[in-house]
Order: sequence, then structure tokens, then C-alpha cells
Amino acid sequence: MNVAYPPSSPSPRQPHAGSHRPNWQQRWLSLASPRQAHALAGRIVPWALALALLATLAGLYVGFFVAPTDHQQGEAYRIIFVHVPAAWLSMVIYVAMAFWAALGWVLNTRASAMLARALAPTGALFTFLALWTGALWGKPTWGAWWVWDARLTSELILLFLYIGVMALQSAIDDPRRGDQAGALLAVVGVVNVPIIYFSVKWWNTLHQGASVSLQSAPTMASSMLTGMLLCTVGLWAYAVAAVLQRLRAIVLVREQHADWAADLAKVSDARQGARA
Amino acid sequence: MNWHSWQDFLAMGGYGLYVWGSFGMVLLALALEWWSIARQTRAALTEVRLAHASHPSQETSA
Repeated sequence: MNVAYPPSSPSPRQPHAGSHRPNWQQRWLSLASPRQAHALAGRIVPWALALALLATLAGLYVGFFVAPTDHQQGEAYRIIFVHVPAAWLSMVIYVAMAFWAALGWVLNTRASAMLARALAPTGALFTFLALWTGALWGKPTWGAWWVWDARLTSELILLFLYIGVMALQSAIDDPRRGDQAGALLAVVGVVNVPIIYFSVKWWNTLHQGASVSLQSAPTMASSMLTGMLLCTVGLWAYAVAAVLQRLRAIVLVREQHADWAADLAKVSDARQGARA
Repeated sequence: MNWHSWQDFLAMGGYGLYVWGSFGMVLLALALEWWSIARQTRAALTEVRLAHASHPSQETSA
């Protein structure tokens, strides 16, 4: 649109822009600014934490008090309510990390690379939890804490990938180059995610097949499924809160010389003073 | 209702160690992570304060 502004038109910042309002691309890209990302994350974290608490409590209630005992595995199957959500998150967070790392590398958007850094530790934690709860489930049902089965081995490789990405990111002093090194490994490692997911189909594994899939009806009682999905929402919301809160700390360190960061530290001081 | 008593609930049909070992580790891990993020946040704020205490006249914009 070619709108000729009258001389009194209040558009001092963008005299050549066709419109007062930024278009969606400008709005979207403004989130790539670390300052905007810090502010947006700060608004999301309390809501994500509240949702995490509510959904997890509801999921645990359904999981322990509504869902019936499994006729094959007895009560041991209740580990599913944390094992499956943790395993799903370990893969989803990896894909998200690789996506943001690649975006930060290609578009040179700093906030994306910082988000990739913030995702890695939480992803590694959920991978560890998937392995830990899997071992505690494997012992009573298979008779072994660990077997070198395709599903378990590829999930262990996922943990090593996370650790490798974090090691590369922090081993290089220049943060931008550290981001790029981490991004390279993160992107290459993405091939492992479909391997984990389809391992129970491609190989003859000890691990049971998918409990929930898009092609067929779930192979479990509906109350079990409800409990598992509620726990998934809860842990997912927790992961969002943890990642965004970590992102805020990372942004502050990277942007420590910016005036807005100093203002923010002053506000934080004032709040602590008011509390004391 | 699945459980007749607290003991019954804690025993988990003989799988108490495995079930509570799983849920306990998840709770512990998430609590530790949140604590570490809180520490990281405090350290970040301290770093910002130090950066501006040593270069009070530095003018950088976001």
C-alpha cells in the first residue's frame, strides 16, 4: 500500500513503511530478539508450571486410583505413567533442539540458538528418566535391568547425543561457534529419533510395541490411556517451563552488557529488597 | 478403588520398589533440575550486575 502520510502523521521510526502496524513476518522475527524471547518466556513460565502441576496430579490420581490392575503385569505396569511420557519427551525435545539449532545456524537468529541450548539439559534429563524407569520396569517383567535391545540401545545413543551436543556447546569459548558446533551434531543425530521410534517394528525386540499409535486403537484400557495422557500433558508443560526458565538465564548471560539486562537486574534487586 | 490400605498402596502388589523407585526418581530429578535452574538464574543476574558495575558508562542497546 502506498499511503502518503500527512506531515503530522506520527510515524517517526519507519518513514518508508507502508503501514503503521508491523506485518506478521516482522512480528514473528521480533521474537528472534533475545530481549523479546526473555520477556515472552517470562510470561509463559507461570502458566506452564500451573498446568504441569494440575495435569500431573490429575494423571497420578487416575493412574493410581482409577486405572485397574493389569492382568499380566500386576501393579508393575503403573510405571507406564512416567515411562512413556518421559520417553516421548526425550524424542520430541531432541527434534525441537535440532530444529532451533539449525534455524539459529541458518538464519543467524541468536534467540533460536539460545533456545537450542536451553532444551538440551531437559532433553537429556528425560532421556535418563526414560532409561531409569525402563530399567525398573524391565527387571520385574523381563527379569533384566538392561538388555542390548534395539529400542534400549538407540535410546542410550540419544542420551550420548544430548551429552555430546552440550559438551560441544560449552567446550568452545566463543558462544556463537559453540552454538554452531552443537547444531551440527544435533542435526546429524536427528536420524536416531526415527530409529528409536520404529525400532520395535524394524527389529525383533524384547521391548513391547507402541502403546498408542495413530493407525490403530490403543491396546490398553481407556482409564490407563487417560492417566498416561494426563501425565504426558503434565510433564510436557513442566518441560516447557523448565526450558523457558533456563532460556531466560542463558539470554541474561549472553546479553549481560545490554542496558535492558541491567534494568532487569535492578528490578530483581528491588523485588528482593521488598521481600526482605 | 484399587487399594484397601496404605500398606497395600505402598506395597504395589509386591512391585513397590520398582514403582516407587520410578516415580521417586522422576520427582527427585525434576526437583533438582528446577533448583539448578534457579541457581543458574541467580548467577546470571549477578553476572549482569557485575558487567554493569565495572563498565557503568557502557552504552549498548538490545
